[in-house]
Amino acid sequence: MEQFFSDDAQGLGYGDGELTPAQWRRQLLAVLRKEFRSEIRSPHGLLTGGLFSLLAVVSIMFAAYNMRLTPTMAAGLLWVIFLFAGVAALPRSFIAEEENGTGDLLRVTANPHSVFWGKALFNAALTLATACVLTFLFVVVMNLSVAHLDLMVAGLVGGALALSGAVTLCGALAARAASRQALAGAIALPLVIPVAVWGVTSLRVALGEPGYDAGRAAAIGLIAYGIVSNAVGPFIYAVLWKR
Amino acid sequence: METLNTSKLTLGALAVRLLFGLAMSFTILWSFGVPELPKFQQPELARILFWHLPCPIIASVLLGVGAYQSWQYLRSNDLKRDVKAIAALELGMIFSLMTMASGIVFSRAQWGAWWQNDPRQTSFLLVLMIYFAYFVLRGAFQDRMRKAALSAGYALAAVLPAMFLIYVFPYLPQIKEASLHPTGSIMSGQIRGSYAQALTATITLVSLCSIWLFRLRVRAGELELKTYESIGLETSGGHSAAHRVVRPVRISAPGGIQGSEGAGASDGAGQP
Amino acid sequence: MLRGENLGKRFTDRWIFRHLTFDLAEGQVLAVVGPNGCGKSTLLGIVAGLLQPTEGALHVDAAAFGYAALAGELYADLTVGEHLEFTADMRCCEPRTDELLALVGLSGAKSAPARTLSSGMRARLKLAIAVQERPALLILDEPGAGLDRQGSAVLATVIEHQREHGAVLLATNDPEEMNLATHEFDFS
Repeated sequence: MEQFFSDDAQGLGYGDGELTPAQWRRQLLAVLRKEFRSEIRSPHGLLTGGLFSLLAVVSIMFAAYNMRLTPTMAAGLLWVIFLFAGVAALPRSFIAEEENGTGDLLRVTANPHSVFWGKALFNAALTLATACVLTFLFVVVMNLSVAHLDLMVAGLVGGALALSGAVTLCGALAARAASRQALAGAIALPLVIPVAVWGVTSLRVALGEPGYDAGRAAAIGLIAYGIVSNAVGPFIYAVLWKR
Repeated sequence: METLNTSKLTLGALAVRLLFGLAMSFTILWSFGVPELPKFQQPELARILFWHLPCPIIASVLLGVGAYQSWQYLRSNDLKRDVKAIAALELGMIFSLMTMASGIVFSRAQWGAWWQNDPRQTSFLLVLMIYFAYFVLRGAFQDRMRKAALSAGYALAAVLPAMFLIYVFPYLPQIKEASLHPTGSIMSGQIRGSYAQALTATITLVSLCSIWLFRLRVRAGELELKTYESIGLETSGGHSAAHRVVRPVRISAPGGIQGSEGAGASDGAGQP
Repeated sequence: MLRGENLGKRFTDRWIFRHLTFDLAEGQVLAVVGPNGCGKSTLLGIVAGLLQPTEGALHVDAAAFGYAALAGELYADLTVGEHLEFTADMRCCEPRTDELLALVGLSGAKSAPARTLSSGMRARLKLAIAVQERPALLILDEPGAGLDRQGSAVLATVIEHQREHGAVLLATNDPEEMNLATHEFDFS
């Protein structure tokens, strides 16, 4: 007879066991499919993050009507928008599960690693799509020129990965608190400021500031941060998800 | 309960306390006695270095200790580990605040403004924000175990960005060029002579002080934990399920339970 | 199949229950009854692994379990069929969508989004999800709330089927559901 026990009796703990690669892939794709379906049918994330970002960009356009933004200013403003839009929209992937009461359905059927990866990758895709649209809009409307497209793409991809890893985890941590949305944003923001540092560096060089090497190092840093935060996040989540 | 009544302290403990007090007093006086540094705007205030420099070092060590204890808590579910994590992170926050405060005074004295928007100042402020966020997260939950587990997860997640802000960001070439704050002063041997000696003394003593404060805080936390664990022993009597029984019932036609057989106390085993 | 020894659960400084010992063997249906707030759902949550007990031991001999709770919700934007596909993917088992929908009487609602379902239909879908993997242990927390007469008959059928190859742990205050039990555990 299997025994889960003693003073930290675990219950049945279904779904926490080892998975084969095929099973892991199946679960991951199922979570991704579920997230995309829900988003397409009720686009909360797109509305929250996308609309916020769009309004922020338009506000800047309105305020800077007769200014020519330097690449550094433009990169800084864009990344502030990405950060705040990210912490507003991304934690919802876990918060919505608790608010809607579907958290237990996941916990009794799923493996925490595949759940986290699925949600983090979905958030990364959402962030990347939003960031690409906004960056394009910003560059066109503010008459900026892109000197290094490769840096811009690498920076946006790395930034999306890095933001999603850290903010998704913070959403998971705050999901069962009372004022969960505000709490998730408050605890996520300090963790993602380093992302902004690298993001601004890579983007301003991509927009024409000198220092290609620094920009490339920043883009590599972003991608590395994204990989690490998405790799570590599932393990932290797995330990906490039934507590 | 242990008190600070000196009559209950052993002779050795008393001697250690006296020695520490003497050493601290001497070091404070010594720090005022070292020569002024002429290249500082207000040379007499250069001495703030002795009390400013140990603080971020200890704050970052305590952050590491807090993360380690948090990891141990998640492995063991032992609330004593959570007590140690809290102690480390509370003290770490205090030392971070002292870093900011002394840094702000130094900034005013040396560079003419309380806040220079210096990248080093800002990066350490962000480390402080990470500490604040940890305590905000803790405060959002009532249940002790959940509070401990989730804040432990956050402490682990915060290690990477905190280490980046303390040990990587200030040393990036563009940051080093742009920052007024000196970097690597100790490692590059810029601090020499009586300044080096005084600094060594202050780092040593402030480290010992932080260890003592940590142990005090852990002891207080463990006493609080004992109180928490004893709550419910008094109140659980009315809710105790010690005499719950499993009473077999006969399945009947719809309309009601026939009644229970073997009603009364049993050893809790449900038998058909 | 399932044995709880000296289980206790505490939230903040309040014990929900302590020193709880019970036994469940194959073929049995154990009904956990008691007033609201006494800890029935908490106990079932512990058995299902959703909550950790503060003290005690849980012994389990079940390769898989199914869980359905009144309080549990469904994904509003997913259809009935998509729910079963999703949970099958998460469990890495056969979805058995048509078979399960026929069992619970929801064959006609396969393409209906969960948000359009009545509470009784939701309860049936949760039941279908719970039995999808043919679990050895079925954990049901007030499964019959909101069910009509036909739904209650479905529940009785499911429980009867379950007894043939496993056991059921059932939290309820409904006399009809209590009639389905072979054993009763009274929290009051």
